[in-house]
Amino acid sequence: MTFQEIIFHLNSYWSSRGALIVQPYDIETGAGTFNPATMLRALGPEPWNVAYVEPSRRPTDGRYGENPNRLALFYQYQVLIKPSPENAQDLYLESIGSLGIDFKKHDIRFVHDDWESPTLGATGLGWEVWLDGMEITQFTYFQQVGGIELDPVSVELTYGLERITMFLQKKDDVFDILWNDTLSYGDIRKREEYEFSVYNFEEASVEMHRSWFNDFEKEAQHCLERGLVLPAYDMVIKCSHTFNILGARGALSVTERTAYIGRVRNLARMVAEAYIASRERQGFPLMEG
Amino acid sequence: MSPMKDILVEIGVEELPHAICQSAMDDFCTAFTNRLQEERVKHGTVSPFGTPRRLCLLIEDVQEGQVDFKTEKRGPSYEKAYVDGKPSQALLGFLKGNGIEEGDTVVRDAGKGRYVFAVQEVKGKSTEQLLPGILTDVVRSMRFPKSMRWESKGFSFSRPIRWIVFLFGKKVISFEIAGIHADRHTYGHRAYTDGTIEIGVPRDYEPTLRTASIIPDRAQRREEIEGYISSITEPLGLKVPSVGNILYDENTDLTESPHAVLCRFDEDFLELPPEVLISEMIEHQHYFPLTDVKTGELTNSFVAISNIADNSESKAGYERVLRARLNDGSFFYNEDRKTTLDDYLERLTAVTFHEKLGSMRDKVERIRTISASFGKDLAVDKETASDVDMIVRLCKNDLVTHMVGEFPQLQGTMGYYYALSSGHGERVALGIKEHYYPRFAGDELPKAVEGALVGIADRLDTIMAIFSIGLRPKGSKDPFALRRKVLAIIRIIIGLKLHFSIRKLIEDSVGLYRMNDPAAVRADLDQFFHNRIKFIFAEYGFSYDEIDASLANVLDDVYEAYRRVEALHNLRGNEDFEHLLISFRRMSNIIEEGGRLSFLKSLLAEKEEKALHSHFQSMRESIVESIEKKDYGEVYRILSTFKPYVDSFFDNVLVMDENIELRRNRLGLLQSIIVVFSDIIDFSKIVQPGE
Repeated sequence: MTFQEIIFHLNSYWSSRGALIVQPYDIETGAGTFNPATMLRALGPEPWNVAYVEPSRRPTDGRYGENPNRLALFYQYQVLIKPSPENAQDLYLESIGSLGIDFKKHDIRFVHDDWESPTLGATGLGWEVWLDGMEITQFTYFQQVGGIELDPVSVELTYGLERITMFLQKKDDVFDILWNDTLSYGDIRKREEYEFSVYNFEEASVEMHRSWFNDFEKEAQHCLERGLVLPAYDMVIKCSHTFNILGARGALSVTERTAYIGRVRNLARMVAEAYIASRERQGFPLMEG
Repeated sequence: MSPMKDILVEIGVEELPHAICQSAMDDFCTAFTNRLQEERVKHGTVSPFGTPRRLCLLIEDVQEGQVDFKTEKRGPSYEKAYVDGKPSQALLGFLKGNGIEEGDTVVRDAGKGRYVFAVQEVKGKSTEQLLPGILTDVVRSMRFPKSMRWESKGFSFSRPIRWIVFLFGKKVISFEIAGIHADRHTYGHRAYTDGTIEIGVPRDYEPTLRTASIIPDRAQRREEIEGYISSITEPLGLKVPSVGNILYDENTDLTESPHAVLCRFDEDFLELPPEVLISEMIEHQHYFPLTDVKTGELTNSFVAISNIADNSESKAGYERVLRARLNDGSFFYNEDRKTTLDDYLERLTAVTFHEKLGSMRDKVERIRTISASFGKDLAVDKETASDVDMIVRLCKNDLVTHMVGEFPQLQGTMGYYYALSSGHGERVALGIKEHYYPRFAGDELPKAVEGALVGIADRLDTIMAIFSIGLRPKGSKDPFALRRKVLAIIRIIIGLKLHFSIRKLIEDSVGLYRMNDPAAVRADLDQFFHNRIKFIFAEYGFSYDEIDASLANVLDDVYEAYRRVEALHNLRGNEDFEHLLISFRRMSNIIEEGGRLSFLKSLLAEKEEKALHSHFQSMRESIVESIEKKDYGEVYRILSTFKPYVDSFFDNVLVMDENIELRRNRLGLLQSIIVVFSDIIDFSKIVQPGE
């Protein structure tokens, strides 16, 4: 199966299980969790069932396209189901099995890994899913988002698309995997990895990013004052990405890092509270019955 | 005996974290059997089972009902209950209130006179009736390091509960928790069974699961893993190094049906330090590293534990994952060595030690100053002093390397390798590694004095620095683990037999820190060390009184204080010696009030005091000599020879004589004896068992 076929397959699998298929968000995110379809929709009582691909930027993980396993940008396949169904593990295993993986010959395991996003004030309990010793998915029952205890609890599945493709195509180097029948992942993305590694580690303007961070933070507060929760949340994502660039540039001391994380978390908390209040004012329109 | 049946209870869960599996199984078993006992339900053998997906108990030969029992309730006193031998109003009211007849009472002495008691037979409830309540209590009572919610009622447990089997004999016990109803259906191995498996009677459980490819008995699973590994490694002359021992439990709790797979990685990776290879295998992958039995060297073979039987395809996967990690590891190792370890020093400026205390670079500078005075106190030779200085300049530099960023626990170890590759000698490299020793309870100590010296200076700096900004440990709060740092210092001092004054070292170094009231901080530090040392000595197995008695000037030489406590401790428990100690304590207490007294031999009147004095005179020199030689065993041996003299002195001589001159003279004699021992032992601190 090619990289794109795996995405088609997961889309059709989850679509047939009732998931809404949405598109990646149009702002740089560090993970599928940051997409408002997860981060905001996990809040409050309304049911939600969604799947999408999310390009995820991790500036510090860039290796100039020279490392076979590390990327400054990779693709997550994200599923969020609220409330978490009783058969969540079975649904997940079926999705992996349907990619042609035989669990009698490949060792699949749920290995304890609790998840935490200090910037989003989010925590969850769950596992890394291992396939023959390789982590291919993060499986998490969300407990908190924006510091708010979730009720009902959502289950989040985050598939590492490149890793699953490497596994299925038996490739040791991510750049060798086939995106379609003729083009490799490297053909499409290697240059991008190189340029963004140079940019993130060496060229990004520290001064500009510092000032952006401050501006985005101010703008988020401004939006919140005006009751514009969704634009406020965009600013939170922008703050987070800006912070990640500053981190990759080595511009932050340990104490500064902690302070920046605290500022994003504080915004995330305010947005989370405002979002629930806003949905409530709208009468929780997605509530059944 | 009433008839008996077996109980089977299985809580089916999504995979429990492997680190808590065993304690969860133990807690489940203990809680359940305790509740049965509280309910007076007798039973036979208890077999706990458990895998990552199930907590289970088979309890055989459980009585079908509670044991019947009697309750007694005290009523009026006999005098009030019977007037002229007839039941009084008080008694009739008591009978009516409890719904009983006069025949259901007994009269017994209740300490303060005779009373009427109502006796009621309580018929035991049926076990079947009790079981749902017991299991509810047990499940609700279980505690985990972290719990989660997953279902609509907000029930919380380590991981979601997905099924429950609850049988009493053949019958399913009606039970519900977290929306799950008990029945007789369990689940087999994910890879091999579809749907549910029915359990007919409790004793079928284990054989049924075994046919579903699951080994529910944890101990058996662990044995299988051990067996697989030795059958693979022994013919090859390989073995699992001791650092891998933790993996047996981890893999037992990560599998329901373990199988071992012998795998290999490319020999070229053996150029990496073995600690790096081992960390990559153990930490992330739970793979067993293998060493050559003959040479002790790490090999390129390893064992992965799989949860399936056919590993013809998965083996390549296990190897691929490790290859990716080792590629990353070599990349880091090569990158790190492009710079000499010395050149990383200035990068420590960017690493904050604490916002009020500057960077790690600043810390290194302070450690340098402290180590220099410390080296003088220990009178180390010139060469050692210069090695120590180099070790200090290098000891924290690996913190900014890639490898330590990836594996923080390799701090020091990477410093060792990078020091060697930067052209430093083995002594310096070893000092860098060992300055972190001991890293945890039971860890090894530095073998060479250089690492010990830098390690103590480093820890002392952290302690003084944190005290200087007012963040000393309070109550249960010790965020900088300062107590553990003192423990490490004391262990090193004792292990390496170091003689030096902590008090002086603190005094000499305290000027390195900015603070408002240095004298107060110093006093606080002295107090902190003093209290910690007492606590630590107690953990060595010494009792508090012998510690208190031996702690004179401890901060000027902790090791000597340790030796004094040890010598005293070795004689404790001997009846004669205990008696003697108490006599000396009495002497010590009597003279306390008198101030410094002189005494004259000519004023000694009674033969017992003369005998005591002459014994003291004859022994005095050897006591002083033994104290000078720090031979505390000998001091205490000599002390023992005082017993008959001291005993007959106290039996026959009145110290507090009416004649003030005699009294003062006797006190003076006792004082001169006590004073000779005073650097070794403070008798007044001795406590006898039961006091």
